[in-house]
Amino acid sequence: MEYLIEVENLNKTYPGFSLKDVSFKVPGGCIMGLIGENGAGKSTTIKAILDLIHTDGGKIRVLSKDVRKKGKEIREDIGVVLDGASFHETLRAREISKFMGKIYQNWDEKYYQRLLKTFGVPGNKPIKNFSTGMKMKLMIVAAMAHHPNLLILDEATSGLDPVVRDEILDMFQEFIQDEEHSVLISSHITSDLEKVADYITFIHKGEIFLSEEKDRIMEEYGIVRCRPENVDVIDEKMIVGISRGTYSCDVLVNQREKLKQQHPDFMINRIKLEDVLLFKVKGDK
Amino acid sequence: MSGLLVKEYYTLRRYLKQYILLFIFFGVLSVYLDSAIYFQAMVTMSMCMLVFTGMSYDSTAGWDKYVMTMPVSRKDVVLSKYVSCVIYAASAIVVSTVFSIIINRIHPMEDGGLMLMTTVAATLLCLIFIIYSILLPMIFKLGVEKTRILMIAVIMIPVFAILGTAEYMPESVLDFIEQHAAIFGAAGVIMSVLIYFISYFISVSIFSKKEF
Repeated sequence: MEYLIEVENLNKTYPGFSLKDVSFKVPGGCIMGLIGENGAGKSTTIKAILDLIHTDGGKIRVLSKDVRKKGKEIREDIGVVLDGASFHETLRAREISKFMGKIYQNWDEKYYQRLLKTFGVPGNKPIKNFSTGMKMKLMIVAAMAHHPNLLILDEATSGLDPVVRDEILDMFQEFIQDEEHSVLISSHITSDLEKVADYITFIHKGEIFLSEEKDRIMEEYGIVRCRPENVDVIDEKMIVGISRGTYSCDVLVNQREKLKQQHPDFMINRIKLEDVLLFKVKGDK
Repeated sequence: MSGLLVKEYYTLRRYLKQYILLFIFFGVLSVYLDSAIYFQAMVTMSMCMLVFTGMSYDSTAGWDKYVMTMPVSRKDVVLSKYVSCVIYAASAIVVSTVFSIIINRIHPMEDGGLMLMTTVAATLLCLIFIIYSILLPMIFKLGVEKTRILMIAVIMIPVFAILGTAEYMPESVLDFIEQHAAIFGAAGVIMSVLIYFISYFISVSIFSKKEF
């Protein structure tokens, strides 16, 4: 299988925070969601992939090239939307094309204009008069207009209303119909990713604790509600996290079917993606 | 790199009108003061501030981070700023020369001679490129806002250093310099260009270590 992003044992230490041995791979033709609470290390991981920060160890390959050595070449083929990185407020969408066309070899002016129209982004209005959603749409359009193979988006859907968010998620779906295209999207809004992502990577305190196909996570994980004394009968290996109450406990397990066979009397519910995060962050084990 | 210069133009061109008004104001004032050099100095100073305005905009918008996700190298980013500075300085010279030619036709000024203007222009440029040479690496290291606080010191130190040295130099040395003004002038220009080049390499090395 062809991987568009390969991160291997990425380490980066800041005072008070560090990424520890982060490894994951993004295959072609898929959308990968990077989920974690605020400060979990999503943005740092993305910055490392983009070579915006120096790493303390590990290997990162994007489009089968080393990011440290071929950064400029790689960036020709990726579209990026970063939190807090944007165009100047006084510029207008139409003017942006004038210099982006000189920066990207494959900048497609016609496609850019068409995307602006599709998303209803005004070409002649200064960006400072845009709403948050409009600004985000412009950033996404600008990231798409040079026909990249890979889209990397950091918290890009956060400020959007449900209608626009759906439009954009649809666009991503269409984008990955090509097997050589992929999207890596980080968010703390798990419902967005639940809808579109094919793979999910969970990150917490700078460590990845799960990177798996979404459908498999949804299929295999489950939440058991039981009495506190019953927790002990569940196989330790299956337990991902426990949320203890006075009279009952919720246990997140990763082998729903197997547990069902072992204990047919247990009520095992399906999960939402955010449950995995909540149990990991707030639960104990 | 050309894309970055075009971007610089589009972000700063909204200042064009204000600058033209400012130049008219300086023009009127210089006629009133009967000094073409006043105009030249003010225009050069104000034009040269443009690069800092541009870089301040870059950081407010998050452009400095954003541009690093595009197919440009860190060297390109630094180079685009150094080239911009040359463009601003050159435009200042063009504007003040054109002004002095026009104004001398209408209302000849005491200090409006082309030779004197050229000397002043060269002196100003030397000074400005030395100031740029110090400020640009500082901005790449510390950012515009922190540098702004130190800017006054950076601008005043070379000015006072030059004036101070002139003050304490024996008469004979000054006479010697004056007699060979062309040689010393040329040496000054070459030196400041050299310093500017060195400063560029320092900035590249600072910027390539920067994290976003």
